Amino acid sequence: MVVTGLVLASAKAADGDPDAKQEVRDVAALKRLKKRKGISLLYVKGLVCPSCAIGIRVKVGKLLFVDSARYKRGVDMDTKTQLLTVALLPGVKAETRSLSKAITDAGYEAVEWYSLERGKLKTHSFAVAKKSK
Amino acid sequence: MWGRLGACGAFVLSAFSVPADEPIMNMMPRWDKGWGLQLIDEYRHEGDLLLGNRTAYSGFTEDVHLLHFQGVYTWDRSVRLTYKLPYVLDARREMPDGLGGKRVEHDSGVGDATLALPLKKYLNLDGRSGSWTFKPMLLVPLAGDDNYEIYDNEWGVGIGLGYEFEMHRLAFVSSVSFWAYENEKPSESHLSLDLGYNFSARGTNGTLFWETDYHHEDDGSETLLAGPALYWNFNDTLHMRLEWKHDFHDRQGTLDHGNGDRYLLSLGIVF
Repeated sequence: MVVTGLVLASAKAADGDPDAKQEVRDVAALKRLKKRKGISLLYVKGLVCPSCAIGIRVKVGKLLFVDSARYKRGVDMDTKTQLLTVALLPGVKAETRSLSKAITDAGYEAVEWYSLERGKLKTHSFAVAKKSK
Repeated sequence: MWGRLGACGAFVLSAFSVPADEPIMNMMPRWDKGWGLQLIDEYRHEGDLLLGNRTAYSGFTEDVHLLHFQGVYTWDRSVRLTYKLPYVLDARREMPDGLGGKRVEHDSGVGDATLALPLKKYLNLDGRSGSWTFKPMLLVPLAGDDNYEIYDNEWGVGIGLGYEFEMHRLAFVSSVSFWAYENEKPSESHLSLDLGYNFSARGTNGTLFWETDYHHEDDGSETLLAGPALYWNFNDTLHMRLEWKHDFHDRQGTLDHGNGDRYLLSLGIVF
């Protein structure tokens, strides 16, 4: 029974947790961007457990453009949607390259970041950003 | 017959299991250039002296109180170096004296150290994160050399393989390992299967596990032990783990203690 449960859980995980589907994530991202100011919002693949955030906080919290006084060392996360909110210092823009590297060094994969354009969600791929540099 | 067994019992090597889990709490640090220290207070009580499947001497107990000093450094997130140094605070066992009574033996002091090089391959999927582990290990003899030793003062080499993943609520950890020793101590195999539920409370988080371990030694000894464990993440630096395991099946290839329980309290710091 235990083995069957594990196999089922594993199979479900391989397809992705329903909470982490793109549609669900987009809705959550839009809501968060409208509600919070001075942030960078990212989708980080694999950021599924509260303990996962420790490495992210260690690495991202050290970046010069991060306001580590907000949230927990400048980082807030939602393990259901794998959305990572990074608090930015006033008037400073996030450097996507160093953000992506910090997340990789922490053991995870930065997939895309989000912005609001005329009230609508716009998605930017880190892979495209890397290629264009 | 029991008298003869008792006399032999004085010379049996004490079976011990090299802890399969690695610092810190088998999880951290997953990041580059991370390090941590972990202290484990372990107490175990064995209720009987076993030979094969039967209880040779009922009520002949063994009580062992250990401290484990452990550390980890992660160069690259896929390469860790860990050490584990046990210290026997007090070990006491009752053996037959060959005259129908009990002889009490004690042990204390430094145990054998374990060095390991866990090599990790991480996977990050949509809704799931985990890793595969390959782990060469070395047991370094540092213990004393008496009739009764919790640690046998022998060189040993081991190999471990592991697979683990976490989801929003589910945690799964599995591992197998094999140990071979320098002299007469029988080789050992270990199998471990942990299933956990992640929870959050008051700004902290943790995992409630059900853990099952199986140990086999090539003299025919085998133990199936299982029980709950609670991992608690107080903050990014301080972590705690409480663990209780009960022997559900115990068989000893040579006269040795069994049918017991194991309790562990771990505190870890990670940077």
